Amino acid sequence: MNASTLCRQSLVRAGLFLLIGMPLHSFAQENATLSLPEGVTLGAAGWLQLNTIGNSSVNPAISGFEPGKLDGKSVLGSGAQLTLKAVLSERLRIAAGVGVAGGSTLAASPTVKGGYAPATVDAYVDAANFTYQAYAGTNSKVSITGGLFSYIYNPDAKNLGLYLLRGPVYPGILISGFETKHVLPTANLLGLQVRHQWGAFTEDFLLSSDMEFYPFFDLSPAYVASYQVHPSFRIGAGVNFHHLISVDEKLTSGHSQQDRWKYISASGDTTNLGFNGTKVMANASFDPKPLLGGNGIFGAEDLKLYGEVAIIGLNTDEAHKAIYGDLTDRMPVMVGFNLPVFNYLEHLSLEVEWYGAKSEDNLDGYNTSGSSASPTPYPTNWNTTFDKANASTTAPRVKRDDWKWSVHGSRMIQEHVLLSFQVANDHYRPGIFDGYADSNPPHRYALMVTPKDWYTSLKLAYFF
Amino acid sequence: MRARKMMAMNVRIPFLLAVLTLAAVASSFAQDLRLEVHGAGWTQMGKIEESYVGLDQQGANDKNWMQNSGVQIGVTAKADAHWDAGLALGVVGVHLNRGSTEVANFWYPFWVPYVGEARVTYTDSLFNAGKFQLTMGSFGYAYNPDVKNLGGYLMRGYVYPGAIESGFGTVFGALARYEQGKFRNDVILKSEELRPAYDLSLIDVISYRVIPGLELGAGVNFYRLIPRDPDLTTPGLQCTGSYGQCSYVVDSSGNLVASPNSSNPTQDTITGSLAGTKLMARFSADPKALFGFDRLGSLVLGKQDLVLYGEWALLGLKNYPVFYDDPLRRMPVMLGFNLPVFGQLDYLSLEVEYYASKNSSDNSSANFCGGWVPRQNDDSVYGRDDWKWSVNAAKSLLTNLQFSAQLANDHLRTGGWHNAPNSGSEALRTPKDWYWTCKLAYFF
Repeated sequence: MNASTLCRQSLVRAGLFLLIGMPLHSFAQENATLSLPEGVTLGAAGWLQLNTIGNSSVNPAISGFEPGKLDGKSVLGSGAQLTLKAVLSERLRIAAGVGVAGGSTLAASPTVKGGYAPATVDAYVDAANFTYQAYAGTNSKVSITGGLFSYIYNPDAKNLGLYLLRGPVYPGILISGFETKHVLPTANLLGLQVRHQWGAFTEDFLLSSDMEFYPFFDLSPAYVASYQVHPSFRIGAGVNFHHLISVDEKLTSGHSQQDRWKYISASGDTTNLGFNGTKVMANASFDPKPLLGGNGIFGAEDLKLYGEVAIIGLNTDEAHKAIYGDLTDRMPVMVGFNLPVFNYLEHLSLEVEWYGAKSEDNLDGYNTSGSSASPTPYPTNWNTTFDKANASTTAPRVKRDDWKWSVHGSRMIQEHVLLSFQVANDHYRPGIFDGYADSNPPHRYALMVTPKDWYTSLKLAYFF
Repeated sequence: MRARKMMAMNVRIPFLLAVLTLAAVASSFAQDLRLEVHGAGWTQMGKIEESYVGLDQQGANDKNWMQNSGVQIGVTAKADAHWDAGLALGVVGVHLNRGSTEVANFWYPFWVPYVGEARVTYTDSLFNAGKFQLTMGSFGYAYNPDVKNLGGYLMRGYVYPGAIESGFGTVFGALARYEQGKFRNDVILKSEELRPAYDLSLIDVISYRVIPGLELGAGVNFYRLIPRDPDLTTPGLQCTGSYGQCSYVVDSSGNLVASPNSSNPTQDTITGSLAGTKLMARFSADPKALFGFDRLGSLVLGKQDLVLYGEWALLGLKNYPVFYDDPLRRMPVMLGFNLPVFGQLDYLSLEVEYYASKNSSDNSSANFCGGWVPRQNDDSVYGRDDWKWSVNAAKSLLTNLQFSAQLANDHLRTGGWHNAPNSGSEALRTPKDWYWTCKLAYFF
């Protein structure tokens, strides 16, 4: 499909999308009166979302899959949520919120299982947490948050970045996407947060239970600090001891159905592989506007330059080097810049990422449902078996997906409606079905695997 | 995925009810509504330390981690002195049974929506003396307020097979309550959630406060009195599924015939039904109120300290040869005692249960295909689970937080499809089995 045809199709779809969405917008402006107890606030949100694949070069090993056949395919989503927040005392706040999200998925081929790609409707928790102000001095505060809550250590990131708390360590697969829970104020962490604020310095001690990646429920202690050096400059850093505290040591250390995951070098040395490891991260943000005397004609987010760098996995023995590469191969770097939009938009952010990982950008190795599920710390391009004795000691390096980029913008309308959009080549993985989901969970290949790949996203959200 | 679909189906009817209730409340109460919102969240985690899930898998659940967390938001609406309603929706994150390490690759968490409450209640006085209340919809109901874990036999679980359930559920149906002075009577029409679903059971529960500090109660449950499909509730000779058994053959002495001969005139084919009758009696004694003291020495007792409570039930009045031939083996008995904690905790309870059934505690035969005959293929010694126990404690913090914990050898069913392929299997079946769990809840 050529670019002009695709653009036309995308514009038509976007127009239809807005036509559907705007009547809902008008509903949202009609204020209903609801009296709530003192200290309790009710919030609600709804949204429509449309993603369209412009070009995808992914070529998974799926019977019947034809490269390029995903081009032009759209993925629709919609949802709604209700949230109650209660300020119960000067020290205690509680939030409770539920949501339901629905969406379409992608079929590997119209000829495989009749093009099976189910529309899904799933419930989720928007918030289920408490925050207790344990100490409040003149220049220092300590608070404790527990339960399911939102935690975003890098408020500038719109799509790429946030490496410290997203995704597994081995292999170091990155997570991104358009307006996911990782960048929105909705629960993305289950556990405990102790925050200490001391002037311009903030530090968070986190203990999170893993609900996304096998072995589930392992506890990961993490520490994140940030310092506002000057109104124009913030720096931050953190460390995440991913899956340090196991709920079952055998699972975390790589035991599986028949044996444990291990690497046997050419010289015959055996190294056991596990799912736990350490991530470190540093980030910074520079806003020149305070140096120029204020916002002036610029919007609050305009001209911000921000970035993040991480190392995903610090083990440097022979096996880890052979499989995951040197530390530079495990070091994603993201730089973002908010283009000047002079309040016509909330922001328009360009983000660029480089990540020299050798691994295929595919999370199938972490699938845990279906008859053939076998979680593995090996990247999927290693094609390993349980018996590593005859496995190759190397695998082809995946190179063409080293660079990623994203342009993200949003515009608020009458304080209750947000229109946001994105064009990107990132780690988008909507799921590809090649069988019925009871026995064949969707493949989690990233669809953007070469520099020419891209997709668009559009979202209309309405809230109060 | 299959479990998710099943749960979604289970939620569909209550959700429809919730929407209808909300619509009814909104239209009828629109003039003068007093709304009260409430919310709650929790995180619970624990571990099965020792388990036994059958001859073939034995301790496959040993050291299995259990975790769930969730949230519920709700609204109660009061229109006037007579009408009020409640609606609560929630989402909980759960996971399948993990089983042994070899099958942990199938272990994953997922979110399940549920209806916490969807009811409308009418309250009025009756004969200018007592209070009458009619509640319809989906609502919580516990006739024994002392129970922390064990007991509650009248409302939970099947009659045949008499496999006891732990945990609390909601009633989907109607409750007519009459209260006058020390007396209370609840008549309940309950739509059953266990399969075959939507059979109607008629239940009557009375309680009487004899003197301050002593309460007695009793009840009867005509379980599945009105079947939705009689062929499912009383299946005759054949079940439709592969897991269950709906009939068996005995010889002239009443012994089970493993290989029946259809031409043998001395053999008798036994058929039965999931329907049956449960009886229950209970008591609660608080020596503080009975004997008029509120402290031991200089230490002030808490409100629940020293309360002794118990419950007895008979699961099924009808005898069937071989499996249900002795009423004494269909009688669970529970005794609980709140240890003195002098306000340091909300309560610290010890509950013990004795149930001498020699049948399998696996209820999947009934749940899968209406098999009222107990399962017989997963263990050889069913008597090892006669005794159950549970230690429960709770401590409220800052008024709106509560930490609770439990150590128990109870009727825990971990569900799932792996190791114990039938989700009705109990995980704790020998005296040495136990697990622990703790929970932090926050609410307003």
